[in-house]
Amino acid sequence: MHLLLGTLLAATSTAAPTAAADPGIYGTLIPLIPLLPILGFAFTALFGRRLQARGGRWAAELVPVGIVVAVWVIAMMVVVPALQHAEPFGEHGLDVKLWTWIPAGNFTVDLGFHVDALTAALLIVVTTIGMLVHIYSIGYMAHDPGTWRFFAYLNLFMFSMLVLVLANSWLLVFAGWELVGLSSYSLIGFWYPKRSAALAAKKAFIVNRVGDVGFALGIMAIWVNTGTMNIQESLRILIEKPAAELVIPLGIVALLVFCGAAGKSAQFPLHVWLPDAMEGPTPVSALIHAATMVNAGVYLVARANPLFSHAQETMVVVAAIGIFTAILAASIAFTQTDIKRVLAYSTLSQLGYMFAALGVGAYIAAIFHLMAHGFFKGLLFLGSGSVIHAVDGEQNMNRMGGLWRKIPITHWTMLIGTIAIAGIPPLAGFFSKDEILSEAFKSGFAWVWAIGLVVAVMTAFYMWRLMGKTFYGESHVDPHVEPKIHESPWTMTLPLILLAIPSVFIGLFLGLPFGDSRISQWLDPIFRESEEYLHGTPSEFQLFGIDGALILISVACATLGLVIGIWLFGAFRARGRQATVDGIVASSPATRFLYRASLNKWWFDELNDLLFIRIGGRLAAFLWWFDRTIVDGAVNGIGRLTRDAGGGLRRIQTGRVQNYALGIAIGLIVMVGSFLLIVGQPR
Amino acid sequence: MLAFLNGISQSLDAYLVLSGLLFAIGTFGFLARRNAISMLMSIELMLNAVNLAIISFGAFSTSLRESASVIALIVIAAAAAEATIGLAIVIAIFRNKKTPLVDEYDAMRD
Repeated sequence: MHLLLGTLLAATSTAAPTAAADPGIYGTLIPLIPLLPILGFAFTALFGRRLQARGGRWAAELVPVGIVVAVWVIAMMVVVPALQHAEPFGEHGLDVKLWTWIPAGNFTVDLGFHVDALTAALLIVVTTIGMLVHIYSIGYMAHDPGTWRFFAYLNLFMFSMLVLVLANSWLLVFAGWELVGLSSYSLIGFWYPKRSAALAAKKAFIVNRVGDVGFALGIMAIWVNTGTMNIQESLRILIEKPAAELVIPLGIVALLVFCGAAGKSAQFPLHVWLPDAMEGPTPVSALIHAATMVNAGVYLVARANPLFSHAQETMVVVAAIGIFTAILAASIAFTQTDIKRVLAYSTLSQLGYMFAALGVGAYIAAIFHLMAHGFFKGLLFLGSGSVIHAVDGEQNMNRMGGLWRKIPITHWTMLIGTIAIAGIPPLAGFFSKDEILSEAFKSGFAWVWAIGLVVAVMTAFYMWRLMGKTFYGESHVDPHVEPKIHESPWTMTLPLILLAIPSVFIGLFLGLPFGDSRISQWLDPIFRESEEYLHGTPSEFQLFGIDGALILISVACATLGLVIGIWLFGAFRARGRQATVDGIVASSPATRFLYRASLNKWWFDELNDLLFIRIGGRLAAFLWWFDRTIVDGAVNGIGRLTRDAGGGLRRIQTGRVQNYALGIAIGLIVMVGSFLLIVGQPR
Repeated sequence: MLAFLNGISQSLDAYLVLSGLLFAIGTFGFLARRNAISMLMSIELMLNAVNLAIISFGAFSTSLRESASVIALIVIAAAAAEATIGLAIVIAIFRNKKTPLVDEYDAMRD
């Protein structure tokens, strides 16, 4: 491993291989990033209850929150040189091997971390939003008796996610993958006495298992093909080996890996768990189900980009599923009334965008959108949590309205988030979404581009619908709650403001200058080979040519969506036109059908119920019957036969000497008689 | 001595028939008698039938003469030992069961 790394680095740097492979201080800092949260989890899980009982909430929150802030500081110390390709990271990243994890003959797996620019980009999102969500939770969970448990789980999640992102072997990625699933399960079901929360947790866990089976098989396929578990090494072997020598074709390997990615990132048809996951506390929705864990699938595909680039049939599948999920989820978001569910479908839709980008080979655009989306969607979720907090736990948008003057900080930050996700320049969403769409168009995926534009209109529209129903127009708040509406404490508003800043500026920071943006400089070494393999040398950026036109079209679409939204649902003092909305819905059978389809989420839950509960249940019942009757019957039948035969034979064992003697005598006579008859014929 | 020998049958078959009859009587006695002592006696009868057959073969075949005598002596010794042990067992069972009838002895069934 060291030899290989040495040669790899020697090829890219002028320094001596041994000196280049030395991680220096980063050998300590990188393992600390996942180590601290797991220590925080252990500490809080063991002592949190007692600390909270004796010293109050602050005592229980101090360690987990402090640790996450420390992790953020350490992560930034690692991220900055890693993004600038400084030594010892170089263009291809730094490997920190801790120890040999599984030494078993031919099969050895090293436990270690790999940090390159892609890891660093994910580290920024995970640690920054993780830290802000921890701070936010101090305020949000202030009335919950189980605060210590919540923070313990949050730290466990941070550990899991950081392991997933940092891992250098597929096995460790898988461990992190399952650990985030576990912590997501615990946090969705955090209010487990509530039946719907417990069911949602179970649903998330089970649907994720479906994808994970594919991912596990994909990892096995990779091992069968390459004989190594190291990510970088195995990817290199996969693309360098002639196709005839591969035991399992690349297309299938990529498809299996994508299965896992689709499960974790809630892509069609495994998207059903994410909206239900909103049963968890809102900080959890923001952290896990919007900004970090659901991005793991995107990260996985981007990490395995050489594999996907050489399996172009699979790429088309990825693009198709991504863009289909995008439009499907956007259409459902039109009619949902639960504020968090709208955001959940919006998350699905944006994740669909990212997969569409991965599918057309625009890896950098996908990661760019991942980062931008992480910030503004985290902001929107935390904002929605602040709204829910203000109106005393109400999540139905039809019982909100007119809140903009009562909770101004929440309103203004959410407005920024909405404009950012709609894709209005110069906010974050514009740069990343536009890059995805124009890359799709330029790579010859005009259908992805066209559907993407429709989704852009829809996104802007339903996001403004959320704003209009929540903040503007008349108040529909419960009269008992109305006087108690209050802005949230500073622990909640501070993260909102801190997330609003990157939502505004991250696009400008990462996306400029056009054609040679900062993020493409960062991520170029990781994706260069794949993108050149797919598209050849990239063409020059033409602001007054094709690229400028594409930007104008996407901005026009976003504006169109916003304008329709403002016209129908109002803004500030302007009233919405609810009667017009109802009129449009009722105008024709087609619109009525679409409305019902959207409201019922295209009946996917019912379909799953039919396929897997009814039909699958019948099949399972039949198999159970088969097992009980045929399989068990055969085994028990043999047993019974032996027992009964023994019971029958037992009767001739009388225990009387003379009966036995008679047997001997008869036997003797028969033997002698037959001997005489056959052999000893008298002469 | 020779005169005595002259008086007896010169046919091997006659001895073997006698031996067979004795063996059959012994077998019948063993199977039919219910008294354990009688059964032991029947066993003795069968052993002696066999002994008679062996001696007869020895008398009519010169090559077997010495061997037959030795085998017969060993059979007699074995019969004596068997009778001793058999009687001992019978007495032991008799003390337990208070009966000499073998169809009461069914402890081997279980």
